Amino acid sequence: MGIIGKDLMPQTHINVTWFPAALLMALATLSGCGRVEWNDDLEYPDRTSSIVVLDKPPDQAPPGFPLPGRPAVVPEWLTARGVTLLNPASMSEKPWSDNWKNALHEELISHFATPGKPRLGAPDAPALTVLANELGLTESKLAEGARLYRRLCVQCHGMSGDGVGASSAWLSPAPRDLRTGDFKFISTAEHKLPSGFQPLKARPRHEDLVRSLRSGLEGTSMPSFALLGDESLEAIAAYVLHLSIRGELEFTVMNGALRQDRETLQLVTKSPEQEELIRYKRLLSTTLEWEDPEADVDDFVAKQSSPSIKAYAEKYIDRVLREYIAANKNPLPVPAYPYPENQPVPATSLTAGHTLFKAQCVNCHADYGRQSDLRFDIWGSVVRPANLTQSQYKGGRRPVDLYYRIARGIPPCAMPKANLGDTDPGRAGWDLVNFLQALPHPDQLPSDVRDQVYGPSRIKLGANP
Amino acid sequence: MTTQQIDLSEWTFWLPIAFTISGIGLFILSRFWTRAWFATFTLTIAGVTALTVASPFVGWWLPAQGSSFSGEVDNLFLLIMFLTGLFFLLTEGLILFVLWNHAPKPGTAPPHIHGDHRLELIWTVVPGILLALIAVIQMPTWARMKGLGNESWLSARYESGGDKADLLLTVQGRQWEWRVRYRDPSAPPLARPLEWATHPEATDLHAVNEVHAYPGAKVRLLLRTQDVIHSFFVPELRLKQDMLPGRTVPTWFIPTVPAGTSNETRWEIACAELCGGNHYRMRGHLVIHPDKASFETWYSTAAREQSRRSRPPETGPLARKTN
Repeated sequence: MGIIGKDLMPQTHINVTWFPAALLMALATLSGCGRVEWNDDLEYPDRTSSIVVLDKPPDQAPPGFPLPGRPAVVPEWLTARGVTLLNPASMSEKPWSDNWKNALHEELISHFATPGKPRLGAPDAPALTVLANELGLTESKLAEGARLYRRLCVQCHGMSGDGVGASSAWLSPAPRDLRTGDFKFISTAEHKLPSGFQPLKARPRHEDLVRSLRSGLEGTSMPSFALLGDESLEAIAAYVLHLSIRGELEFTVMNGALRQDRETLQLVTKSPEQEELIRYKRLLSTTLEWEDPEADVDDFVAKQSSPSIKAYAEKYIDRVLREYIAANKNPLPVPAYPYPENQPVPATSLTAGHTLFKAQCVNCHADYGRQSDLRFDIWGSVVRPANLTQSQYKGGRRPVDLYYRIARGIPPCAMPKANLGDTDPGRAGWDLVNFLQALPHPDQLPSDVRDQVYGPSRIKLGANP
Repeated sequence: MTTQQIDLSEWTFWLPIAFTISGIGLFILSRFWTRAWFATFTLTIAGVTALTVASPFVGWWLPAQGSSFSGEVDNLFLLIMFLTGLFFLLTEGLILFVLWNHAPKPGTAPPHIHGDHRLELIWTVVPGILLALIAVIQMPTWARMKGLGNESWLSARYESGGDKADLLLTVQGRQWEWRVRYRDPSAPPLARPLEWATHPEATDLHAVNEVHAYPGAKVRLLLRTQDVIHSFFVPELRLKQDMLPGRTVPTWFIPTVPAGTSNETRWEIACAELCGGNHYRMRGHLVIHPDKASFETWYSTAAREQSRRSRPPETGPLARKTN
């Protein structure tokens, strides 16, 4: 074999052995992307993020504060404005036992299990399972919901619904933290409770959750999932409730424990007025279908107060499930549209709506939302009241959606329901809806209203000085 | 966080491994058998050619033709496919010839060749002429698709003539969905339709991820994006158009056959520009109703739902229980 010929033969190539081996290893790292379910041994992480307590919320955030829609993450800034931040890691007090944190963890596992095999209600608490099934949170539906959540939602909303998934840092508004049990866009009628009692939380109805999934939230990063079909959307909604109830229980227990406040950890605060308490009990008995409405009041309070996390967790989940069921049965009544349908909106209605808007809404939606002041929501995020001249509605653009927002408010953002007066609240509500629908379109407004909103003599109502 | 599990039953796991092992095997084989490379290339070329020829007969070919210009686009595709296929076989044949004829012979020095000007001239000029030919041949089709042709309802700059389109809609891409807005077909025509893309009207119909039309409708699309570059792509229409931030990009199509009324005949609107982590999930449906009447039924139903002033029907487990 000559020297030249030898050069051409591959046996002298030194890379022959290591190059394919390196290629093999590199390619092997690309493999194994097929599995999309949660691992069976995976557990929900315990809450580590701070609990924001807005007992006396600062009603305005100063201009120039970090991006609206993002959590206000500067603790010094928040505490200087009267916001309390409770850090679950700094917990040292032990309200129930030496090992309260482990006890809470145990309860969460037993009632909600794991992402791989979610359930609602521990096996030794069949009453909870019955309630959960009534609400549609069956085990099969939760499993399907968890599978879809793993594929479609976890990137933003996080495994436990904490709103800090992998891509959340780049999103504004930030993804919703589901773990407080608060929802923005609801169509539930309010339960009126006597003063002095814990009000019932504003619960969403099933169709509210499905609507958000189906249409997405315009103006945010939440896209529409309509193409999945209604069955899948309902499964996701069920799993979202599962995550939310789990997070809410954890949140409430930690909140009470961190504040060393046993009152917080009782479902019913005892009022000195027996009369009021009886009324309250009756009301809860009927709206939440609690058992033995005839039992005596002290017994009732004792039952709803709890000596242990185990008992408390069961009672709390029971109450929350009943609240959701009650919400589904208690839609906000929508008054009939007072003007002829399929006709142009009468100018008088638009003018009346404009008058209502100037009287109430401009306090927050300054200059029709074009110069709104920054505010806080209950998650401690900085929010900006919507710019209503943009024809962009997070909670849906149907007139009925706008009516819900007006008549019910957006409770977690401290957007109050509008005061529609006593004489004809239905007409006033629809006047306001009609005005809001016409507001982004100058050609739809009567000329005097148009001048005030868009004209050169535009009045900068409620604007910053 | 979640951990990725390696699933050994997935063929995608074994494919790169099999590929690499056969590569190593080939290296070793070529040490003992001087015709190993010739054999490998012959098998590859024969396989590729056989697959290409068999594809149309086993349904691995172009999707159905759904728009007025899809036939033209297909003809161009076939022409270019034929030309490139011809030269592929020619050049690969030459490679096989060289591999066979000039395989290393132990003890013999191979000849050294230093180029051939005449040969190089030929293989530069001939493809050049072919490329110029292709460029000229495709021009009328391109002009028609971009609205520069003789379609009376599409003027050169899209600025006027919007009244001739049957349907005017904006499609706004964003990470990761298509937000669609229709102009009311019964509304008076616009003098400057491009401006409407950024100035919505009160009577517009808003939808997400669904574009509806009917056969024969002149559909004018104004494409916009809210964040990054997306690309509106419907394979059946042979329509693919990028959407650029800050710009309104007009395009159009005339559907020819009904589609999308059932899951089997559904046409997908896919994003054809890598636009982020969930790019693969940015998809919508194109529904071509059987006729204009059924499109109008859909449109009025959707418009009625959008202007709903009463409580929508109940959904969920409680609603089903009462049914």
